[in-house]
Amino acid sequence: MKKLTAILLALVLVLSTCVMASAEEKVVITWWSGNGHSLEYDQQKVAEFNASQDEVEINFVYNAENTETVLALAIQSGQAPDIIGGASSSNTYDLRTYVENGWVIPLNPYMSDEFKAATHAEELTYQGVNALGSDIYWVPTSIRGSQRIIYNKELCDAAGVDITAIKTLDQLVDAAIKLTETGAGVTYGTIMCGASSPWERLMRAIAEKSGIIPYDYVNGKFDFTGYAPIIEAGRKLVAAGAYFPGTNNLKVDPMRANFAEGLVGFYGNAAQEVGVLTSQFVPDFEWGAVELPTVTGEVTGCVGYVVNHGYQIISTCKNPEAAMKVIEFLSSDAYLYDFYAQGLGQPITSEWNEKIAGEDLGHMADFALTSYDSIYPKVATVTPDGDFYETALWKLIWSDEDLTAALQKLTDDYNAAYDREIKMGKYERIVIADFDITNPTAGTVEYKAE
Amino acid sequence: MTLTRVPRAPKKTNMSLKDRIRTGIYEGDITVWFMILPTVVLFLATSVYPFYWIFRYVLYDYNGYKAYYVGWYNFEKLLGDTVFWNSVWHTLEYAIGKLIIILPIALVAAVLLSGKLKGTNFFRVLFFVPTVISSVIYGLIWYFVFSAYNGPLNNILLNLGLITGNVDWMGNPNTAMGAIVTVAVWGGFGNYMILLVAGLQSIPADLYESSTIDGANAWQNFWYITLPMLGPVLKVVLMLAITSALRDYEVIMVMTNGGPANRTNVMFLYIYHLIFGNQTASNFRYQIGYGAAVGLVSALIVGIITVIYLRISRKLDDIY
Repeated sequence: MKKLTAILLALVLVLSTCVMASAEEKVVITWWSGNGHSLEYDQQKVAEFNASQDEVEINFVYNAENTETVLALAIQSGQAPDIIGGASSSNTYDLRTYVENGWVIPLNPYMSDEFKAATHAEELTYQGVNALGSDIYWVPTSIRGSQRIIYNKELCDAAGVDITAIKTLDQLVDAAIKLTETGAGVTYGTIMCGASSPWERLMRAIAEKSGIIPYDYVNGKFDFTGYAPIIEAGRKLVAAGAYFPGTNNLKVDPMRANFAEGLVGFYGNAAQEVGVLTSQFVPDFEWGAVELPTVTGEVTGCVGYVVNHGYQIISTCKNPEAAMKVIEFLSSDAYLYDFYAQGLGQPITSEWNEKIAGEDLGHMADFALTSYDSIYPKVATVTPDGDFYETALWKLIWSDEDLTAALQKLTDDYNAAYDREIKMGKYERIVIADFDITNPTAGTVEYKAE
Repeated sequence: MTLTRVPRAPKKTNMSLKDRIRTGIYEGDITVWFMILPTVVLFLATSVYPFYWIFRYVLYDYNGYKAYYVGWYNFEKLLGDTVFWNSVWHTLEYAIGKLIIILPIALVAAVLLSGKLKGTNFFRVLFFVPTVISSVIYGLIWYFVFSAYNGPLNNILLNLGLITGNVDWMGNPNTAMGAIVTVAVWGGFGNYMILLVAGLQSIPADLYESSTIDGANAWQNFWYITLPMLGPVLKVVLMLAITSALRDYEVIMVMTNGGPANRTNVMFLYIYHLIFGNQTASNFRYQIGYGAAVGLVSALIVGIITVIYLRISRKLDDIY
């Protein structure tokens, strides 16, 4: 018996050594993901990938908090991952800084022709976002559709508001006021999350669609003077009490919860709301999403949408070829089909839209790309004396400060900070002499150091 | 057995290192150093080093990735930074509002709960409980209490007919500061009450007996015995109250995050936003260098106020 046990133990030892040896042969690529909404999906797909082949193994790490700061520390301490996500929506992400610090490497030498063709890598380049000059640092595989007005059909019907017919900002304000009056202190016209980036969720997008943007690309200067009509519309909402009480202190989830409770006529946000309103805060009433109004009713600009689910290779990666294999997998049909079909992201190419045409995308279809959706070339995130402009503009809605003077001061403060930081060598001035706001990706980008 | 304390022999200045170590061990010096070593190491690691780390950036524009030398620019910027100077005024407003409410309440509660009435222990514990709860937690609880829509406070006031519609306590510039001062008082007075109770219990009972025999009433006892005898404790309590009020920001961050329109933005919340970012802007940049400069100036402001207070409060040390 003892002999048999000894033989069995020896066999186990030999087998486990073999298994370990084969595992050791695999190149381990660590991927940091900050995508909480697709966490389970990512884990499942990583498991499938790891089981399917014996060359590369993905070490999946979910890391959503302060990614940039953590990455900076990890790189400095030699504990950086091999791959990290790229998205144009990240608060503190700045590709130029990453490149200047030598943290990421261009994908160009590692991209095969098949990969380029399948992902449209050379077409989906956005200066300062995922590319600098001809160097491509990540290739987006998904988008987050631009903002819509998300409305409660029952409340709108009760108030006699046809939100689908609204074309101008004034009409939207009037609708909110009417909804508030009908609500009689129980339900309100609209809501916003004053404590969680309120400006970018609705007002920014309405301004952009109306041709109002914070940066004059032709002259390479900031200019906030065009925002007056947007701020005035916001002030009308405040004066009429059309914002849900406490709007200024709400974070994003309480805002959604109040909408889902049927207390608000409409609010504005981008395509992430589809997932939230179908799984997290599920309304028991019929809701819909319609396109944004503009100041005049005419579309004179483009709304910036988010490109995401791209993957960068960190410069400390010892095996970029293996890392590229992982990126190829994450950009392939095997990963992307169910990703789109389950509404975890939206296709970035027309081919993919056709491929998943048969799938029921529910409300995600309301957020499909329009002809006026685009990506603006990245402008330096300068640090002005005082508030950042999104905060300053939102605060102006809630104050009675002289608007012309305040917007001029904001413009002057931003340009002074921009000049100073260019002199410091922190940024280069981005100028697009042939900039066309209805097609912002088309111009010729110049970076001027001065 | 009689114990006699042996006086230390005067130290020889020309002792060898070996002799010094031997003397140190014999006289207990090294033991003392070993005993305080963990505290010193922790103090250096958690207090001195972070200060060194942050303050080396006061002359830099540092966004967490790369530091750009800017000389004295951060301090020039600070001189013209209206958000900061307004935050200083808001800090003083908050601190004064908190102090003039919290100290009398704490003193009255301490006097009442120092007597031999039934239930004093229960009330001592009850009033002290907020002190042991995380300020973030009770900030969140009060956030719901003050909620403009369906908040318990609004509901009570509406039912009593004291208000006619929902009041946005935290979103209205006229009420936001009052709301956070209320929470600060609720969260802090139990702590000062306990300190004052300890001070009251150290006052000899025979003083009250003598004064009562001499015909003093309760008010005279309080005014001429209790308050003067509490002087040294009051001095410490006041200093703690002033410095903590000047440094408070956690509850404010949870309840209003400095809003509306910076109405409740206090110095240290402003510093927090500069160094760790503020979610009200999507395109913020970490301003660690400038935040360090603001932190240095804010610490100086708190230091100056404390020194002024200590000079003024010298009289509180005089006990009859």
